[in-house]
Amino acid sequence: MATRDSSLLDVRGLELEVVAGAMRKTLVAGVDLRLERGETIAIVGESGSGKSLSARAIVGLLPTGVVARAGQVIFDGRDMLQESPREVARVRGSSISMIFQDPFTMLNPLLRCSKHIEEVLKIRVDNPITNRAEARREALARLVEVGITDPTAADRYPFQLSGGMRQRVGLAAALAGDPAVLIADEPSTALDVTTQAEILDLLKDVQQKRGMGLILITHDLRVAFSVAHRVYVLYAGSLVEVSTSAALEHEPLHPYTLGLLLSEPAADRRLDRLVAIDGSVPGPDEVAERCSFASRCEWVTDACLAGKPTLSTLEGERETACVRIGEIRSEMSAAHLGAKRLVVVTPLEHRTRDENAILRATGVSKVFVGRAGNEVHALRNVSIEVGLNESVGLVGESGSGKTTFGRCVVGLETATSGMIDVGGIRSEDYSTLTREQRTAIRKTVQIVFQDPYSSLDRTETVGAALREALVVNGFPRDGVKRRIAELLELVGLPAGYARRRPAALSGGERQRVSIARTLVVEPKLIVCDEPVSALDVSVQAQILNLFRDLKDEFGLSYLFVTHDLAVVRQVADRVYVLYQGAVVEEGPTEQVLDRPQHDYTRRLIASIPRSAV
Amino acid sequence: MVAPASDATTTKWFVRRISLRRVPPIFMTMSVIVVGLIVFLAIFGSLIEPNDPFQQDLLDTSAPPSPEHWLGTDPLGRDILSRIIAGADSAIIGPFIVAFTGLLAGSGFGILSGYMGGTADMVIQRLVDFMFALPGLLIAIVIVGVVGGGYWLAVLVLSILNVAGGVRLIRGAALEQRALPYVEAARTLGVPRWRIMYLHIWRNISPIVFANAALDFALALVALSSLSYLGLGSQPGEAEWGRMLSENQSLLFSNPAGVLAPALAIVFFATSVTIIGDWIYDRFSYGGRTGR
Repeated sequence: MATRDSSLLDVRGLELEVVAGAMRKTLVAGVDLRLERGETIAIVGESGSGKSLSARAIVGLLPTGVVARAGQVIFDGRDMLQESPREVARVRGSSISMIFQDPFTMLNPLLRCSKHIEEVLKIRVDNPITNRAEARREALARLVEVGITDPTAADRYPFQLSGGMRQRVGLAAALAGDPAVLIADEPSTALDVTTQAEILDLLKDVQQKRGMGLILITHDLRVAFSVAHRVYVLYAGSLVEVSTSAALEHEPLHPYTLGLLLSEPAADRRLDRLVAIDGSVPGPDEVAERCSFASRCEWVTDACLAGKPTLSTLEGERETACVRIGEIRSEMSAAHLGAKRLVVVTPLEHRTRDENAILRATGVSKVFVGRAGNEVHALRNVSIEVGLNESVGLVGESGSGKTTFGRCVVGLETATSGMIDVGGIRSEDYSTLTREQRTAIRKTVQIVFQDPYSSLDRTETVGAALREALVVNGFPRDGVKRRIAELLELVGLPAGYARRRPAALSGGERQRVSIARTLVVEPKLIVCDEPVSALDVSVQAQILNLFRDLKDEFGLSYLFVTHDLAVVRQVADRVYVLYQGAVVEEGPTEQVLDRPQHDYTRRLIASIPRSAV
Repeated sequence: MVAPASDATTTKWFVRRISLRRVPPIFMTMSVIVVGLIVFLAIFGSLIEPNDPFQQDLLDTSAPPSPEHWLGTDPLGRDILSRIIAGADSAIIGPFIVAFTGLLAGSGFGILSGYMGGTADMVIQRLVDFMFALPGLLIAIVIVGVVGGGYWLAVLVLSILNVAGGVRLIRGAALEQRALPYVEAARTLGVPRWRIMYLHIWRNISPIVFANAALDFALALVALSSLSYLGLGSQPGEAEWGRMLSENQSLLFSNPAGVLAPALAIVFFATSVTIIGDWIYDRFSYGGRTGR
């Protein structure tokens, strides 16, 4: 390619593997990246795709045990993989720098904010500032660049700042060496929705003003479209598609990219059924000799299994690894357009005052008392109702109290004041209920947690977990085995999964098991505490569809606690918006999301990432 | 062995973990051999002792190693190798009782304290504080000295003094588990408290429990040997490594092997058990991140 020599950063044939004793496992199987001056590229992939590791390899920050097996990282005419660690460290921070996902651990908790920037100014290679006063002045100017105009913020400690502020300070520190390339690894993922948009805008802004190269690593295609010029789609350790953002959004040319786009819950309309990609991501070694997506692709033929397809240029800037693209392009295009046109809004009967409400909470408040005696008002006079067979969304950012409310409903927390009525059992204080009342509440309401990795006991098999739940709830022992198979089937897992331990399951499968476990008591209401936010996009859709199926089959009600408006749009009939512990808006989903009344709701909706074009 | 994910159904959960073990395999192998050998000697020692470990031979005292006496003889002319072999059982039984008591009481009270919180936690932790405030070995010396000594008394005193550390450690581990969703899910499903505590939580923290027991074992071995060395543990005449160390002190220049052998036996056994404990912890625990 003609532009190759002048590229700012050029990664060729990068292969990474983890070595532990005699065991070798491929993590990245051949990645080529090109970053031009003043360009933003995005590396998009699900967990396990190798996107973060590829970026870390560029700056020599691979975790212990992970090594580069092959490839080159050409920057400034040199191969970074061949340079000494000392030389790579010199480049890192001055010419290439990186910001990370977690703004809570990125900063040193013992250093004031401006110190983080002054440190870099002092040690940077080009034009280091040794004068303290000058460094301080420069640090303040750098904070202004990232939108921190309040000079007192510079003297605060990281724990005194919000997540978004911390991410800004981290960005300022990363920019202090005036790098030619900035790598941002999921910079907005750990932040609240409204802050997410601000940080992405800031990144875009800084990149344009400085004309620097930006590599954005994300799992979210929407985020990639809104920030990047070009997108690299990574799947199971190899690239499947490379394209400009606009072209990719218009027409994906690899079945995986298409699947990703389709399975993303749309924020602006409700679909009858989400398009899910079945199965889960394979390991790079399992697909070393075939198309990595073949096992989940609906267009798979023998040609896809014959060998590992490489990227081939299609037209202009577009590259795809799909060997059948010529034959299936029109079909894919039709599927893409078809889904776009599918603006099926399931009409909802609006029931605000249901006589048969399964959950009726009135005036619930919860105050946590900290160690120093300080009071945190997690919930302020919250009243929420969930009708029979109704799905209610509870939306808010972290700290809004939404999770606390869900926990109060199932009795994991006790409200400070207020009344919670679950299936006709009224309680002011869960701990004063009789054993029978608690049993009745348990059989009415169950909870699904966010983290699929810790919500199952890793030492027992799936079958043992379900058996225990059945037996303690009085299920006759002789029917247990059959019932376990039934439950697994209900959540779309083969009966053989009963013998597996959680470690042998993917995140989506674990979440299915958690759901099966709640179904043991045949509850009427399930509190879903961010049940899909820890899952990959392609799996999210599977689980959301499962929730819908179960609702129709058993007449379940849901209290869906989430920060994700797109998810709420897909599953909730009615929405409550929680802000700083209080309900600021409620109503039918369409009404709230399309015609928000409260300022805060408007801000939430405005912060959904949209493409730049 | 590349990417074993496809046959994951048949693999045990603990084998699948990609382990970057801190204990090098060679140390682990050596430790298993040492412990295996000592256990073997404790069980079958009486069959393979080359000489009677209690037979005195006042004509052949403090002799250096020879074909009849591989490690020489002690000041009373007893065969040192045979006495080392005969001492293997007391090197195992006493420390085992101490470690096992610590394991049971530590798990029982530690999980109760960590999971229940409240008054139970308060009472147990104040007792633990009290026991921590006692200078352990000194108390053992005083009690054993006053009552008149003896191996079993020493074991009893050490067993009691050892419990506090285990309780505190396991309480911390249980506290960490208590907040995890799998415990909360069990609570909302109505799983009885005792079952959550002593089935789920215990199973999840068992690597810590066993690693701690291994450490307790090694410490108890050294403590019992120390008491015996001071003449407070085993009685005169008994074949016990710590006691041999003090009885054979005078051999340092005439038959160094006679002093070094029991000393090395104690050191190697204690070290091996500790290494195995470390290995158990590394191998079976997932660290802080549950199962990821």
